[in-house]
Amino acid sequence: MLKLFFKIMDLDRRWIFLMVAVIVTIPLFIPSNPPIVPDRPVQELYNFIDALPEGTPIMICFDYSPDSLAELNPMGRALVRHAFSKNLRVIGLALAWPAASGLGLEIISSSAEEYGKIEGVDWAYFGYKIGYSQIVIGMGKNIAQTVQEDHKGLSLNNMEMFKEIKNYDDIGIVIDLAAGGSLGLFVTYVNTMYNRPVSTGVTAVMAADYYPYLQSGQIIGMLNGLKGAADYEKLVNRKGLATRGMASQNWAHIMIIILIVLGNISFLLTKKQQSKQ
Amino acid sequence: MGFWSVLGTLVAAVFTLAIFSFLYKDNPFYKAAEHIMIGVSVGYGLAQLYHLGFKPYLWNPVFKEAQYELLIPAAIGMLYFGFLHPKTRWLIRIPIALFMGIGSGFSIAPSMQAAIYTQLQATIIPLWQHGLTFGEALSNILIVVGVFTAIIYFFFSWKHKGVIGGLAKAGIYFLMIGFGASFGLTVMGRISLLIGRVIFLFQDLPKVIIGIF
Repeated sequence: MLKLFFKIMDLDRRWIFLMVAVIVTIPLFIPSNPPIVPDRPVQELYNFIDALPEGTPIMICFDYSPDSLAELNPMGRALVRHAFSKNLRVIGLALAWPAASGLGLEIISSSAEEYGKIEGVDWAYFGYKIGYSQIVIGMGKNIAQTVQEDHKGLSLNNMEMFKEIKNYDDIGIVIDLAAGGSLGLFVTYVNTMYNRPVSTGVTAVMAADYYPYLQSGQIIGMLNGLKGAADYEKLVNRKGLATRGMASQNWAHIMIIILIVLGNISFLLTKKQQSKQ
Repeated sequence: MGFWSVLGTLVAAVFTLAIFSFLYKDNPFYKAAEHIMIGVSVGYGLAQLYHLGFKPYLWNPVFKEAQYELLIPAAIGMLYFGFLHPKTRWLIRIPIALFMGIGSGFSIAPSMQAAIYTQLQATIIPLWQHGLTFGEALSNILIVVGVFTAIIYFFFSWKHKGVIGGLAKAGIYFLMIGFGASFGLTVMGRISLLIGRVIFLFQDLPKVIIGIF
C-alpha cells in the first residue's frame, strides 16, 4: 500500500490527463439525470427577468470569445429564450471581443426563430462595437446616437424598436456575459453612474472576483460557469448544452477531489520517509 | 448543413485535436495550430478594427461628409507611431496624457463609488438582528471578521506580534480560503471547457460526418 502512495508521487501527469478525459467522456454516453438545484443568485436573476412587464427590452452584452463559449453560450441561449418566452424584447451587442459578434447573433436569431420574433421589432443586434467604455457611457445618454447602426449596417433611427428606447432608462436590465473583467465597467457606469439594474453570467474562473458585487447588491443575481447555465436551463425548463455536461462535471470533480487527497497523503508519507532516512 | 458550416466544423475538429496533442508532448501539429490561431486572431482583429473603427469613425466622416475637424484627433493618435524612432519617441506622451486625462476624468468618481464606497458600505451590516436567519447572521459575521482581519494583514505600520499578529494570522486564513475557492472555480471552469470540446468531438462532429455520407 505504501509503495502505491510513493508511486503516485512519480506518476506521469499524462495519466492524469487521460483519466480526466475518460471521466469526462463516459458520462456523456450514459443517460443520467443528475439533480440540478438552482443556486440563489441564479434564481434571483430569473425572478427579476420573469417579473419584467411584457415588451420591456433587456440588453445582453456578449463579452467572450469562442474559447469560452462552452460556459457562456448556454447562459446566453437560456436567457434569450426566457426573455422571448415572456415577450420581452432583446438587444444584443459585443464590446470586448470582436469574435463574439457571430456568437451573440447566432443565439439571438435562432431563439427568435423558435419564438417567431421579428428583427427590428422584438430584437436587435448591434454586432461588435469598437469603443468599449465610450459605448457603455454613451448608451446611457442615447443608444441610437452612440451605436448608430446594427450588425447589418441599418440605422437604429429607422427601427421601430428604437422609437421607444432611448437609453438605459428604457431597458429592464443590462446583462454582461463576461469571460474577462468587463463586468466592472457595467457596474461602474450602468449601475453606479446611471443607476440601472445590472446582472452577469461569468466563466467560473472569474466568478470569485464578482461575488462582492453580488453581496453589495450592485448586481442582481449571477450565473456562475456551466453550473449557473445548467441552473438557468432548469428554470426555463429547456435542457441544453450545460445540462448535458453536468454529469461529466460531477464525476470530474469527484475524481479531482480524490486525486488531491491521494496526492497529499503521498506527499506527507514521502516527507515522513525522507525525514526517517 | 451548408458546405462552409461542414468545412468549419471539420477544421475546428482537426485544430482541437492538434491542440490536445500537446498533452502528450510538444509536436509540429500543436505548433502549427498555435501559430495559425495567433495569425488568424490578429488578422481578424485588424480587419474588424479597419471596418468598424477606422472606416466609420474617420475615413467616411472625413472624406464623404467633410468633417475635417476629425483630422485633429487622428493626428494626435498618429503620434503613437513616434515610438518607432528614438528621436520622436517622446511624442507618444501627448496621446497617452490625453487618454489618461479623459479616462481618469470619466472613471475616477464612479469607480470610487462602485469599487470602494459601495463595497465598504456592504461590510457595514448587522451581525445579529430580528428576522435574520442563523445562516445569514453567520455569513454577516464572517464578512465583517474576514474584511477586518484581512485588512490587518496588509497593515504594515505595526509589527505583526501579539493581538495584531493573531488578527493578521486570521486574515491570512481568510485569504487562503478565498484563494482556495478561486482555485476550485478555476478547476470547474477548465473542466467545463473540456466538456464543451468533448461534446463537440463525440456528439456534434459525428452528426456532421454522418451528414456528409
